[in-house]
Amino acid sequence: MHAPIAEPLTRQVQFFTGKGGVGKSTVLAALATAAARAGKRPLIVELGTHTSSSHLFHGPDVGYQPSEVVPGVHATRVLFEPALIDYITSRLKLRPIASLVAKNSSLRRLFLAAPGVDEIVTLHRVAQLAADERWGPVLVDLESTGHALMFFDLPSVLEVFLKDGPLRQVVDSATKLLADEQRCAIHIVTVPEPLAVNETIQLHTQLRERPDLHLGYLFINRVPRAWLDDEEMRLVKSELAGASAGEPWAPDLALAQYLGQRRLTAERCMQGLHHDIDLPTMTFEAQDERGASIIAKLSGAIERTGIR
Amino acid sequence: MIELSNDCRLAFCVGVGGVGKTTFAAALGLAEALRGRSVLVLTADPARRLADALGIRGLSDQASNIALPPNFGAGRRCTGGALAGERCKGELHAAMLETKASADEIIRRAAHDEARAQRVLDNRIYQAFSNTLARSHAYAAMERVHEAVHDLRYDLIVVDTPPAQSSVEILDAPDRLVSFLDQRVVRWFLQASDESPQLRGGAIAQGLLRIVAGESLVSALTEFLTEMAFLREGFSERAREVRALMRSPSTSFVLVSSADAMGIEAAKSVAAEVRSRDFELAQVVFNRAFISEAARPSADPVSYPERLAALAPKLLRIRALLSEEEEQKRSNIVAFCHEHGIGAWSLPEARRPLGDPSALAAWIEQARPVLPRT
Repeated sequence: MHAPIAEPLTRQVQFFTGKGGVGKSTVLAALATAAARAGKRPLIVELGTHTSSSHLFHGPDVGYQPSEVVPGVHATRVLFEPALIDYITSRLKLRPIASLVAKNSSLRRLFLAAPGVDEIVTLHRVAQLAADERWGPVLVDLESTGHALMFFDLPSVLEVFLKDGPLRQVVDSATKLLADEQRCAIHIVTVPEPLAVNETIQLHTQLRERPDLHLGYLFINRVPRAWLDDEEMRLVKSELAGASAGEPWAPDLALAQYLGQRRLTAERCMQGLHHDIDLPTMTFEAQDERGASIIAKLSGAIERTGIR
Repeated sequence: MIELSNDCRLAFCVGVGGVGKTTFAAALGLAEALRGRSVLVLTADPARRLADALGIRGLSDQASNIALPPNFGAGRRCTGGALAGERCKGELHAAMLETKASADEIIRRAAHDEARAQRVLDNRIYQAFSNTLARSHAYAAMERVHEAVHDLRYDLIVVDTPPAQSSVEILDAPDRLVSFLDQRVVRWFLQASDESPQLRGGAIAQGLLRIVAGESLVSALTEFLTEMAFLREGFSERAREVRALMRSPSTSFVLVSSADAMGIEAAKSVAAEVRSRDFELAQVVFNRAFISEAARPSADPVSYPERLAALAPKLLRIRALLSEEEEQKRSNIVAFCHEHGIGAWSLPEARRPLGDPSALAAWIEQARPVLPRT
């Protein structure tokens, strides 16, 4: 008999993907906060040059070595140079020699110019962090759908290099991790806006075509508030078309109508998402607060789901 | 209206994902076409956003001609710039970079010889490299920019770069390629077995590379570089030209950002990336900085009529919250401009998805300068 499948949010490694600007980092920060409060050791992994978590938590700058951004939550950024040295060290076993190799002028030019080097060393670093028992859950912030592709499609893209040798090992360990339903989940984050929804449905379809990938949750972030009920909306509409047109308060009504339409659009978007994406879904209302307090609110919402 | 300087020939739109960069690039290209220039908007983002913004079904590596908005129709006058008031001959073209198609085309054109080109195209390293890897994409973009700049049909190229991490790849591509394609470096890889003293160090390092990357990869790479050797000079030359072009006064970088606190932090880091490479950051555009004029209540207090009394508290609360949010964004933008010594534009939140040139033109017309440029 098979063991029951682990609840996605309790798995060791979790990838977050979705269109840029939908608030992936915020959702991730909230999940990390909830995990820390439950006594776990969450690690946020950011890819690339820009860090969101240090700003979100109003904490110190996040570098390559994991550092604590708020009590209980650590974050790290995968940077090319140290990740390259880590990868070379894993092959040559001796860090001083690895540093020499990375700094050799001709090899360096090759590493900086050759396509695929960045992807390989990043994958190696993420697998290294995922295997590190000090951390759990490891929450990986994939900057864009391009980054997601990098992780999920790299083995087929680099097939030609992979007959044997060290790169085979890197890709194999990543592939094995992704395929492990007990240890790994991929979550999709979106906002209920038409453009984002189209891209999300497309992304979901692409991920679904890959039987080796295990999808977790769909997070719908920043759902706009319903300011007015149906009756109030009708009043606003008729006022704007009649008695209030041109009056000094008309712009206020127009604004209320606009926000009402935005909410309606969001509801339609969510219906579309529910229709096309059969994942367990978590929905977060748009918040007036910013930064740390928004994370406190969202992590509270996560805790109320009772998932541990 | 937002405009580039009259001698600007190449503009890069940079910024993190989700700020409306592609839509802005389309609108900027359109605004310049309406000033009478012939513009190519080139997107390096594989998503369909540019086609969607321009209201056309799809885009490919080949440029498509985009009809200018009908309300600016035949007999229209240019809206500004050197050609202001004259009959407008502006044109708008758009293309989407496809790495594989672009790369194949580059090889065919550069090889001048079908058989030689085919050998490169068949090379397994080439096939892996011309796939979706970030750096390959950046090299293809660089070559495409080089080609477009030399295309006499266009006065201006607007490049929509992919989200942050990959846009840094595009900024670095020419430097990295020039540095790698240096005659000595390539020779070092191809002749490491040579016993000459200056290459012996190369042999040792190449041995280390074999341990790090694997025997078969290094052999395949050597084979690829040999196959490509006759193209080296051309690639190196074009990369050098693009490198110089990116730092020439006729090239502008436009940073697109949102104006909330997180957006500003992201904008700071992108601005630093741009400036640390000695590129000139010409303008900053803050998108969704305010709700468009049409839905914007006046700042004056309003007394509502009796029949709206029940609604009044909500209307007041909406107004207060939104003004507070807009005020916060405005002060974020002003602080950013002071810190960076640069002027900015703010653009309204689009009321509905922008899906055709008329809507784009109407949207970008609402841009407001935040600080006078100094």
